[in-house]
Amino acid sequence: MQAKIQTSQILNLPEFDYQTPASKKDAVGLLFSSGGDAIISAGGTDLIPNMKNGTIKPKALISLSRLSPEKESITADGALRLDALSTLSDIAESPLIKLKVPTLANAAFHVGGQQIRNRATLGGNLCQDTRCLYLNQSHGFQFVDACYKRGGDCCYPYPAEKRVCRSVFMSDTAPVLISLGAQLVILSNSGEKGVDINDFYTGDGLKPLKLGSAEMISAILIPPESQKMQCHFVKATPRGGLEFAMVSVAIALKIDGPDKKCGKARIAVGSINTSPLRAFKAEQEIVGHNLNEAIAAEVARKVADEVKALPHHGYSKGYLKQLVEVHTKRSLTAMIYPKEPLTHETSD
Amino acid sequence: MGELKLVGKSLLRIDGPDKTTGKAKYTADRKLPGMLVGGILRSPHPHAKILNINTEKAEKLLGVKAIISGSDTRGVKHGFVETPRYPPDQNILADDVVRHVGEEIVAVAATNYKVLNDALNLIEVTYEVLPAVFDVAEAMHPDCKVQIHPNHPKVKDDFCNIAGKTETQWGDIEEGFKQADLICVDRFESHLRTHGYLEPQTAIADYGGDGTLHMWISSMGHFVKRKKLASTLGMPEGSIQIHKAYVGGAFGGKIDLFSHEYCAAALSIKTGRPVKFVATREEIFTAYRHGQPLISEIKTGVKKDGTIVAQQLRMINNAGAYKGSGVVVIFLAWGFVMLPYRVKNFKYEGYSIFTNNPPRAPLRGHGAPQVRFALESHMDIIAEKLKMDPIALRLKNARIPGEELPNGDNVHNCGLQACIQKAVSKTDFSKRRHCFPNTEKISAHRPIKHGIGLGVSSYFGGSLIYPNSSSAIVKMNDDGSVDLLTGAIELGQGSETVLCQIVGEELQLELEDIRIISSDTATTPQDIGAWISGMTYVTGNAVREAAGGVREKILQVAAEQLNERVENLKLENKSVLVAADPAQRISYRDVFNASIANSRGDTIIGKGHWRTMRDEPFHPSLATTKGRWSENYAFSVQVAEVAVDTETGEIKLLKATTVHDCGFPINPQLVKGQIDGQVSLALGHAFMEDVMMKNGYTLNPTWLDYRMPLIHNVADSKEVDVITESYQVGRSFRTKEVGEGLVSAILAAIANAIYDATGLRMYTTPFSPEKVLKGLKLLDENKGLR
Ligand SMILES: Cc1cc2nc3c(=O)[nH]c(=O)nc-3n(C[C@H](O)[C@H](O)[C@H](O)COP(=O)(O)OP(=O)(O)OC[C@H]3O[C@@H](n4cnc5c(N)ncnc54)[C@H](O)[C@@H]3O)c2cc1C
Repeated sequence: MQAKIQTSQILNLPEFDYQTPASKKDAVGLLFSSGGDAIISAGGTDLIPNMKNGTIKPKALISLSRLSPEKESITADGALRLDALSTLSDIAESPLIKLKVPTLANAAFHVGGQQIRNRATLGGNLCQDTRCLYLNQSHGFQFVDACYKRGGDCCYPYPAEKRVCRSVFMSDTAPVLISLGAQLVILSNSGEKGVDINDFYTGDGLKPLKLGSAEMISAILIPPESQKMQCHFVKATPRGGLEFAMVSVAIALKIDGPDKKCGKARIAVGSINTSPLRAFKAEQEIVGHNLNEAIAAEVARKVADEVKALPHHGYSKGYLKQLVEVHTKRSLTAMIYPKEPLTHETSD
Repeated sequence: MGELKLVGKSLLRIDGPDKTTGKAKYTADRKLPGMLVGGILRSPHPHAKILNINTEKAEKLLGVKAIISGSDTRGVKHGFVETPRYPPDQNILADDVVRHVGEEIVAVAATNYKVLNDALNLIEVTYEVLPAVFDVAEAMHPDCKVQIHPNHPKVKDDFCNIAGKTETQWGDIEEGFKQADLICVDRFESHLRTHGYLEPQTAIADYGGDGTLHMWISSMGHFVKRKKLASTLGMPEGSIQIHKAYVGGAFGGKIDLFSHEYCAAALSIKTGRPVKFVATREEIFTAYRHGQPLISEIKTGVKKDGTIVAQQLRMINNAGAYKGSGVVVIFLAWGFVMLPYRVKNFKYEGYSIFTNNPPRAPLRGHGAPQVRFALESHMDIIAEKLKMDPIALRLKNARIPGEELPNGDNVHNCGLQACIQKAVSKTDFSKRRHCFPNTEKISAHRPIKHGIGLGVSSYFGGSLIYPNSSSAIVKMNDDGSVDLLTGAIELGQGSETVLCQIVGEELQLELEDIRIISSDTATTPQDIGAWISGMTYVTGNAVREAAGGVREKILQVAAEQLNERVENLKLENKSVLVAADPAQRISYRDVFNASIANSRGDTIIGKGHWRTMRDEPFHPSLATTKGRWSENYAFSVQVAEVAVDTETGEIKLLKATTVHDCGFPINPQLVKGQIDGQVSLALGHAFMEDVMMKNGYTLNPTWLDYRMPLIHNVADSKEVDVITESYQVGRSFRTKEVGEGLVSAILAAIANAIYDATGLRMYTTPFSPEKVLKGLKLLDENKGLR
């Protein structure tokens, strides 16, 4: 076999144009006029490493760095409105968010480290690219042939697959917003539209978002009824900080009366597949039941059966499934018996 | 002797303010006028023949100043070991074959990184890809079709890809096993970890007009670097000056000569301009060195009373594509086995095997963690089979003071028995073992089990290896302050502070009165470097002698001036005074002037040298272990308390207790720093650090995916020093090793604690949640619980 290969390994940003519009409207205008060659840069904490690694090669960056986010507020119809440009530090520290939807503050707090959170935005977190060990490196002299995701013709972890990418979507805030039934406000040249966050993720590792090339997320709305639900979020990681999740579980439940009857449920699982997954069937099973430890265990098993885990970052499918079950069970138990201290760490 | 003034005190580090305020200069911080940047083109294949290298297009690029490949070097090879048995085997830049991913092929110097990157992309290399082997069992199998290098000519075993072998025995192994009441056989395996130094690999070379090659290198010992640069470049040692720069951690990973260091020099010579190389973190993870994965196969025969009567071991090391330190670790593994316990009949074989992985380097402990994890787990297994207390088993076999080791070394004031006893009492070990599982902290949805375990280790302190000796100079200034000139390198361990404390003690000076000039090959004397675990002992004694020389001169001159006998004088506050009549005194300043006036112009300079085992010609044989190894062994016992989440497999090290015989702590706080650092290193080893490789490629070459412990993962770490030595002004001292050995027993202790908590015996590292969970499930199934 003969192969000719050109390699280098020094992490340089490729050349690109750079624009800093003064409003979101101007930003989508620029996206539109670029005809798909431009991409938004919010905090850049996902984008810049990906550009250095050569997984994304935009001709132009439309930087939102000159825009300041609106403060989070309650709309006339009671929804909590968050600006997509809010930084994760803002979200994690906001008294209003902590009061209304503490799990979102919690999830934001568990992203990366403090420096990352100071720059990273909520919109960017929801729109971050999928991840895979083979993808997230510079390809200087390893895995130099471009894989499907990088525009090439192979897949390293699944060499037999054709044009399928099983890279994993690892946002921490996405499962929480799914559990909260959030609406995304999508802005384009033709104005704003609302999209249910459930419909935002495609499940295709090659193109994980249902977002046009001239669209951006402008805001996120959390409906009033979700603000009254009990919520829980857990991010399972090997070391408890500065890392992506092995598995994350976000749950919102409406629990009524002394019998703890479950009136409504949303259960979402993150970081185990090409998009965040929702356990619709298990949700159905729990609604109408009086909650107790046995139900928690049973539902957890059902959730683990329902959401399909892809092995990723060295964790096997079986282990991820087990983690989904354990963390769902523990979350539910903590929600049913809230007197016991609520825990969102992965270990004592 | 009177009370000590500086030695034995936890004085603040003298490099502390510079480092905490960001003033400390590291190599990468340095910018020289006209400096070029360098980069290396590396192999994308684990094993391939190079058919052609075409640099034409790159050479034409504006801003490219020089390009070199293998044919531009002198072809002199280098290696971690360079002995007749193990001659150097690594090329600076590949000749016709590359044997691991990331192997260096071409080096470029350019005016900036953009040009450099473009140039590297324009170089065309044509390869013929060869079959490769990565797994050590496959590589050594007699039928292995891949030959990475010819077998070692002196090793006759029927295996393939043998890089080296260490073989030794004593007593009568067969007879020993015949006497045994119980024979226990186990196999342990440890995984691939890396050093995780924060400062990247970096070098600057400036071949100026003065005929000297000036270099700044992130290294662990400038003199050994200079030696290897001299031999590969074909320059006399004296024409190379490696300057001082702070080093941001090394942990064993910066000893070897690296291609980028040679290339910086060669490219600077070629262009006449300074050249700087800074490796990317990905290069470090994929193409530089990692630690040594080891397989330990152990068979031990014991009497009913616990006496070990025979022990047979086979250790196998996956060396990577070149010998690296693989042929050393199989020697050291023998040493780490035989140090703590007496074994009358013993047989050892260690194999180092070539594979198409990057070559390996020492990693703090250099085999000891792997070996002690295996041996101490094995000891607990034996104790259980004998129905014997594991402490009693260890005490029965542990070395006692004055014992001679099989290689002729002596353990001198060995504190091992005391360490075991203190560790047990300090942690209430015997009472707490076995009683966790069903008592503490069990709640329905948090089934956490607690356990406690113990391990024993021992480590050498300094051995004979180039340059075999440290020298030091202390010279006095007019005002009575002194300058210490030492080759010792400060890489975070605190050497500069410790050495100044010694000078201060010998001369009764404050630290402010001592300036240290260190690790510059032109202005400081030879030094063994910070990689043979002997700096405080070897360099420390050299420094003590140098300061002692100054003290003697001061006393002599003062005696003449005060008309007193030397024995009646004492040093205090930069003066010499008559002990019985303190009013009679003379300041160091006046002594200095008097010395120049009356001692033929002597400006009061002291020099000292120290060589460990000064009557031994060489280091011991790597092949047979014959010859002395060290004159200075430290012993330690560590206890781990863990919590195991039996539903997720996650384990937390709650508390680590270290009881160690460190001889005498010159600076107790620095000793504590070493202990805490090693405990957290072991914690990473145990639970999270894992270089994931597939077919010679590294899957997680980033800080995100190679997980090292964060501050909140670090365990509560307590220690007890067992002091077996003392420090006296004017006398040689015997400090013992504290910088490497304490990664080891704690790893074993964690494994034993997991067993105590859950009944799960760990035979391989890391103790990852997934592995633990799998093990626990299997245990339950076997118990018929599921
Ligand atoms: C060391 C490190 C650790 C990390 N850890 C985590 C972690 O634990 N959890 C986690 O979830 N993420 C993590 N990340 C990823 C990333 O930092 C976060 O997801 C962050 O929230 C991304 O936000 P950003 O504003 O920086 O996005 P950017 O990098 O600016 O953008 C990311 C993508 O989103 C698009 N985009 C940005 N804003 C919008 C918008 N308003 N509308 C439409 N598209 C938009 C961009 O075009 C780009 O494609 C980590 C990153 C690093 C470098």
